[in-house]
Formats: sequence, structure tokens, C-alpha cells
Amino acid sequence: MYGRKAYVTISLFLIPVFLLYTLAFIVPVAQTAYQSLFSWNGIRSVPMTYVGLDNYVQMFKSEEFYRALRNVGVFIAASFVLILPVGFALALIVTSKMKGKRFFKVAYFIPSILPLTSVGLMWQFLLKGDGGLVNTLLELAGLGGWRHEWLGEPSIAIYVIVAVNAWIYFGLNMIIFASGIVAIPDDLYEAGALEGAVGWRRVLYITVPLMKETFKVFSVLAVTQSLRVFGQIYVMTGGGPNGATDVPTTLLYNQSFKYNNFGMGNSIGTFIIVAGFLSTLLLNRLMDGDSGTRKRANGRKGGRP
Amino acid sequence: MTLSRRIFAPVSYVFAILCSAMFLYPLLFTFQASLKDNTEIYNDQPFAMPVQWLWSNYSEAMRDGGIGRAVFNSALYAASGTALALLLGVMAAFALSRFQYRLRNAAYLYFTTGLMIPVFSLIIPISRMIGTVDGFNKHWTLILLYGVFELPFTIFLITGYMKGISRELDESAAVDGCPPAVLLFRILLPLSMPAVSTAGILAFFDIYNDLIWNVLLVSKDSMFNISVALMSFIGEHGTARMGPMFAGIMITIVPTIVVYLLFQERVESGLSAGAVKE
Repeated sequence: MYGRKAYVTISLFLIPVFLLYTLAFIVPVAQTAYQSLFSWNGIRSVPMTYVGLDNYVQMFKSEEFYRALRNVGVFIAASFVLILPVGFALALIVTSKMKGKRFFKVAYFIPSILPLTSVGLMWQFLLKGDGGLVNTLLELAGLGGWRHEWLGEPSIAIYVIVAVNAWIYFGLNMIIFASGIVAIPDDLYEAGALEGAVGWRRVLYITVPLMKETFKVFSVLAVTQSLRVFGQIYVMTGGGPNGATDVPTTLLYNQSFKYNNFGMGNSIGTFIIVAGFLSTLLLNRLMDGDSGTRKRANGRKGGRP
Repeated sequence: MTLSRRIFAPVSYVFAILCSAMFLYPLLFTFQASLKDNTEIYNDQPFAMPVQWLWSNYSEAMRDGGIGRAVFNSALYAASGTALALLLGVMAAFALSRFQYRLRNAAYLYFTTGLMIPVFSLIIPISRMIGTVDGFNKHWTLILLYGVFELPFTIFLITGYMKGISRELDESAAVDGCPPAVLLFRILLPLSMPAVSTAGILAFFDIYNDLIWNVLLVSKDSMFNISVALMSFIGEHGTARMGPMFAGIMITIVPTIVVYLLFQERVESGLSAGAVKE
């Protein structure tokens, strides 16, 4: 179609996009990887010095790096033990026949649309040790002993941030689960009801097994999104107290733009890119392989009379 | 069966209502506090309505914190960046979905690889790059960057959608002597609106909420977006006067709530499509 004019169109439409995309994504990735072999203090007139793998040695030796990885692990774990069950329960509510489900859906989803910085700052105030809403409510409920400087105590700060993060994203995950739930045909529930699958049984024996694909998508997301967490932490604690809430992205930011250690920053950047790629490819492979064997198994079963 | 239902239903309602309170109460409290002074915010009656509604907190956030201007800036960046992303994305999607040629799949793969690259890992080389073109504190660098960062997802979404539109349209357009650009913007684009609007909503929210690029590339207060304006307002005044801080937070979140309530379904599908993109 359009004969030779097609090639003119394709190049005209694709080349500007290609150039801009390459400049904003691909060149910086290459630069991050290459410059991770150099040491640089961020001043443009000061040349970079080649240091080989020193930045990586420094990175893998530093306790901060492992703490940041452990904190990502906390985010991933919370996705499964906190966001998954609650998000799924919310999805059941908004897809049910309950009265007011439209209101519930809006109420649950609202935190996901709010600007992250505004929400982070709001929670920072609500969680203040002195006069923060959370402590005041605990006081009023007679639980004054539970008062904390929620974001200021190294031993609990990361869990508090993870909880706030869950508060923000419950609604978004609810929508993802809800789209899985509504994809299940009604007649399956009707057939199930005849066998006594109602109430929680209906959920456990019909809904959950049929949502395998949605849960897989969620699992990939839980890992890849946890690697990208930045704003919540930057706004609420900046990685503190004393690095207790650092994740790789905040570590990268602090190492380079606070301590002018751009070499180390680049090696952390390279690590994040590689980890992101590997986890996405690996998880997708794992999940695809899984459904592949199931399909084959089903095929065999189907072949039998 | 009836017994289980009789227990199940009330429990669900209690749970549903408790959850609503958990999500909405912090926002309600923020609104109340935005109209109070420090003594009232810090006393132990968090549920009390303000004794006197201090709307002056809002004008203070506007005046001293520049929050009104910041909302305008964020909306400007978001609108321009989204427009750029959609224009480039639609053009690329057209070239990637309506023609057959050797490098097509490779090009598609190349662009969608961007979905796997966390932009936070690129802050060092990009701020250097912006430095070499003297692009700090410039509107065009911000808008260009914002727009281009949204490209992988925009291309992914719109290309997928355009592939589903019948090819016969193109053939008859070509026969009638309709130039490719007209085919795209007059015929295919209107048909692709579901995907375009989903991509647009996601891009708009993404850019409106940006934090890191405004932190790195802007130092002039007149160009601050909501994130940086709020943080510097709080940084300057600390917690000496909480009312205006809460007012500032309210000013930045109200527009997003309004947009959401106006376009509920679109926003829900847009943001969840964005989450599922990787």
C-alpha cells in the first residue's frame, strides 16, 4: 500500500521518535554502565578517572547496599502479605452486588491518584511523634503505650513506609484484581452454587483458582515495582534515619547528588537496570513456563475420550 | 446456605465501611487541619471542626509557598508533555502497525524495551546531558523529557490497539488518493481514541506527580512543580505553622480528585494499565 511513499512515511514518522527515545533511554543506559567504571565528583571541569571495577567492589562491600536490598525485600514481601490479600478483598467488595459498591470503589481508589509527594508529606505529618494524628488516636483509644516516633526510629521506619505505600496502592491493585474477577463467566458461579459453593467457598473454590493469570501479573509487578520505589522514601525520610530506609534508588541519589560520589552512583544505577531486566525476564519466563506445562497437561487430558 | 449468607453479608459491610474510613479519614483530617491553627491541630480533639475556619491558611500557602503557581506549572508540564508523547506515540504507532517491512518488529521491540528501564537509574547521565546543552531551568527541556519518558508505554498501548483496526481502511484510503498523514489523523486516530485516552491519562498523572526531574533540573522557584514547591515550602517554614502546610497539600490534591471524579472509568483503567505495563 502507498508503494514507495510508504517508506517515506515510515521514516518521517519513526525517525524523530527513534532519535528522542535513543537519547533519553538508550544512550543514558550505556553511559551509566560505562561511567560506572570511572570515579567522578560531579564537577564538569574535573575529568573522570578510570578505576575499573572499584565502584562495584565498594558497592558490594558496603553495608548500606545490602540494607537497601533488604528494604526492597520488605517491599516485595509486603506486596504479598499485605497488598495481595487486602487488595483482593477490596476487589471482591467492588465487584459484588453490595449496595454502595460504587462509593466504595471511589473511596478505595482515591489514594492511588493523589500526587505521591503530597501524600508522602501528609503521612509524614500524621505520623509525627509529637502531635501527629496517629499517636493522638492511639492516645484516645487508651493505647498510649504504642506511641512511636514512627518515621524516626530506625527499627520500625521501613515498615511504616511500607504500610503507607500499601495504603496508597491498595486501590490500584484492587482494580487489577477486579478486572480478573469480572472476567470469570457468571454461569460458573451458578453451576458452583448448585454444588454448594456460596459465600467464602465460592471465593475459595471458584474465584481464586480462575484468577491465576491475574495473580501472576501481580507477582511480576510486586517485584519490578518494588525495585523502582523512590518518591515515597525521598519525601518521607530521605532514606533516614541513618540510612535505615534507603533503597537502591535513594542510595543512588544520595551517593551522587549528596556525597558527589558519581562513580558509585553509576554502579548502583547499573545494578538497578540489570536487576530490573533480569527479574522481568526471569519472572515472565517462569510464569509462561508454568502456564505452558498446564496447557500441555490440559491438552493431554482433553485428548483422552 | 442462608446461615453463611446471614453472617457473610454484615461482615462484608462492616469491612467495606472500615476500609473506606481508613482511606478517606486521613484526607478528611488533612482538610480539617488545613483550616485550623497549630493549637487546634495539636490538641487532643482531632475530630473537632475548626473553631474558626481559617481560609487564610490557603492564601498563605498560595502567597508564601507559591502552591497555586506550582499547580499551574504541573498542569502545564503535564498537558504539554502528554500532548508531545501522544503526537509522537501516535506517529510511531502508525508506522509500527499499518505497514509491513523488515525492521518493523525489531523497532517495536527496541521502543518497548524502555518499559523495563527504571528512569531513576538514569538520573546521573541525563542531568549531565541537560547540563551540556545548558538546559537547566528551561521549560522545553522539562517538557521534552517528560514527553519522551512516556513514549514506551504510549507506543506499546497505541500500536497494540491500531493493529486491531481493519486494514481495508488503509487500502481504500490509498486508492482514493488520501495521503498517509490524513489517513492517520483523520481516520485512524479517531478510531484509536480508547487507547489514546488511556495513554494520555496515565501520562498526565505521571507528569503531574513528577518529583525527581523537577528536583534535579529546576532551581528557580517560578518553575517549581507541586512536589518541589510543597517540599521547599515545608523546608522553609518547618512545622512552626501546620495549617498552611495542610492547605498546600489540599491545593495540590484537589485537582487530581476532580479529574478522577470526572473521568472515573478512564482514570481507573488508565492507571491500572500503566501498572501492568512492565
